[in-house]
Amino acid sequence: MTVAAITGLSVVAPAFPGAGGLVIRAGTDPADETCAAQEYLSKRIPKRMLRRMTHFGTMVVSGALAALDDAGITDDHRAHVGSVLGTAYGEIAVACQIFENGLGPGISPTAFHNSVHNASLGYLSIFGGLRGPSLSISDSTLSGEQALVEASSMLSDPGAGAFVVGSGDESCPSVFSPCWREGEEAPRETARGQESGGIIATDEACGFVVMEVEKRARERGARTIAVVREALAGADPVQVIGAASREHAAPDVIIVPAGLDRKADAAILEVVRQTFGHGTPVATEGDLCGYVPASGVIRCVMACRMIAHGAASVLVIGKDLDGHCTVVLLDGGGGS
Amino acid sequence: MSSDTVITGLGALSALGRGVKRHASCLSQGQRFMTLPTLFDSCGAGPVAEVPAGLVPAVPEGHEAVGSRAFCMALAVVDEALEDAGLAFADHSSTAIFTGTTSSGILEGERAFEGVGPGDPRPDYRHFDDQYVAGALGRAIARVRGIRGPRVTISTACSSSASALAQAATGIEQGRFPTALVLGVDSMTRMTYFGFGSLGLISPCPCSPFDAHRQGLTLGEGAACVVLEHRDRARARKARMRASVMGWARNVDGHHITQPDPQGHGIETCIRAALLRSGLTPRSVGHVNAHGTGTPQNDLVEGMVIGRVFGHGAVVSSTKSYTGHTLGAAGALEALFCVLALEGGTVPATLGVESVDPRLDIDIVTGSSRSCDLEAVLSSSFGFGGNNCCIVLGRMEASV
Repeated sequence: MTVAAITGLSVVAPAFPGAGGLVIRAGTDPADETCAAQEYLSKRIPKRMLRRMTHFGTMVVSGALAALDDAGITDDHRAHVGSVLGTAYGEIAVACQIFENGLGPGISPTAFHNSVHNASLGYLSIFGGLRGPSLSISDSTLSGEQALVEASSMLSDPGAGAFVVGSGDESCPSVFSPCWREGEEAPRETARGQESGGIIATDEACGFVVMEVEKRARERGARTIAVVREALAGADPVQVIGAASREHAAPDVIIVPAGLDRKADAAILEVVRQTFGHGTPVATEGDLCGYVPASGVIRCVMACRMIAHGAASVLVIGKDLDGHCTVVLLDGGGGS
Repeated sequence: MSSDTVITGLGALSALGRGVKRHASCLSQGQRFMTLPTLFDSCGAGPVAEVPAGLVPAVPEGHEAVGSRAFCMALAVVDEALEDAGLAFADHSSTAIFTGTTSSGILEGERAFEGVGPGDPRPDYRHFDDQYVAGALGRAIARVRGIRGPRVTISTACSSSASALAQAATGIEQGRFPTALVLGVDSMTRMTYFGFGSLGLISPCPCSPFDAHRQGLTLGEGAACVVLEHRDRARARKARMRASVMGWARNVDGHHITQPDPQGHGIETCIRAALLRSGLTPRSVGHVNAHGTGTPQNDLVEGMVIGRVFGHGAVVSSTKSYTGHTLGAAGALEALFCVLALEGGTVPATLGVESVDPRLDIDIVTGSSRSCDLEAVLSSSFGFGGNNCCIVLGRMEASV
């Protein structure tokens, strides 16, 4: 696998759960200055176009552009940049709006094309000047991790340059709250980072990283925040986590999803402990946001920030209800 | 550049019928079946190419929760393709599945929301996560058929399964997995039918791509599965290698969310990049299976670009004139048609064409199919968001 350097970061989320506006936090320090997503985009996108974009589109486009800015990839150098987005539900709010308004000849053309899974990436390419390959990936709670794995694969391809890779979901609890599998408790609104009776708060957020071929990042003098050493996926957690551990020292921190399925979480944690022992601290994305189905890249941003603040290596693990598992191992790039 | 990825199995289901042989027969005989939708009231806007009643398999017992129409279609083509590849009873612990879909189980979502208006309580749609969301299909197929390698669902509108094929081939070339199922699937939905209608893109009569008087696209539904394998593995197990995946490329126009760049720069760059990767010149490509939707803009831009790249050197056809535009399934289905063209040395006619658009200086096959000695073919797929994907396939004897 080509070593991928991560050179830019951003997270877009409401300032606190339930708040209306979205706030961008770019860079390695979560305490860095924040910026309102709408205000950020209004300087870059004509107002008429901005009005046509959905809430989810705003989250994706602002987050991706902020990560590119953080990576120092200017407008003149974005034509070779590709984009990969992992999202479990995509444009779920506009889709439900179409359903409720009635499906017939009167459907709004703007609502229709905005409902397409890759619409936000389309807007990103138009307003960000990105012309590289563009993939919208959907794989339930593993969407974000799959985006990282497939972007790593594309970066290993001859001629690849850079990808802005993101994942996230917008909040639409009234749709998916009745949809949890039978026997599961629906998520409750609680303060971010807190749990209530074992259930973490639902939220909405997107995380973005800029991934580049390490050599190219070095050549352009970019700051490397972290490098991706492994990005693997499969149905056997023992095999996948074991493969990541074989050639690398135990990570300083392991980040697992702040999921809703406690049984699956416990199973994954058991594999982690069997592989790495009981000593490695385990964290979740709970400090950055509440429960977001496609949270893989948000956790990757968290890992990058840990590395920027001294962690030698961090393992980001994802899982879904079928037991499929992904691992992304990051470190600071020393010795590469 | 030589490719290590070969195609060893195919499966197809569309308005033409069930099975690859049936599709080959309809293509050679110039048959298509386009009627007003039966799944919902279309208000008479235009015909569609629906999979005939009775050809969509029933939901397998015990899998009712995941049993959307799209899932049932997908399962049928996966089983056919695995059997064709001689892998029906193989161990799939390292097999990957790459699914391309746009609407997935939206049809079932629409039904759940029937009668629900703005402000009403949302329906208690418990199968939402297992049917509606794009990733549900591949997840369900993997679970039901024991496919335990990487599992990825790509949803890039009408280029979804072409992009899935490109991504799977990338993984095989990199040694991530030895075998991948590439699945393209979409069922007919009111969302897409009336949505494309709202954009003025639905033809009131069966589509006629590249015709001077074309009026738009005809929506279709269906599924296709292409089994990709590393050449060494296919050779070791003495599999029939049906074609090689010689090259691919993807990019975006960055021009408009639903319309192609009128100059076709993005499309041209994509075609040339796919050729470069395959190590071929335009002269080596004997046939282009065009995206060819039948909309005035797409066919004009695409036709001009094909003319610029290939001139009259490649014969052009749009198989959407048979199957309708199957959206997320189109890329895989059209790659399958390319394999049939390479194997049979025959390029199907584009149906419905009375007089080719005079602005297009390309060799479009009309009337009846044409015999050609093909070494390599190119399939192009373009989607909303300006999402482009081109794939070059080669005849096996030519590329072994």
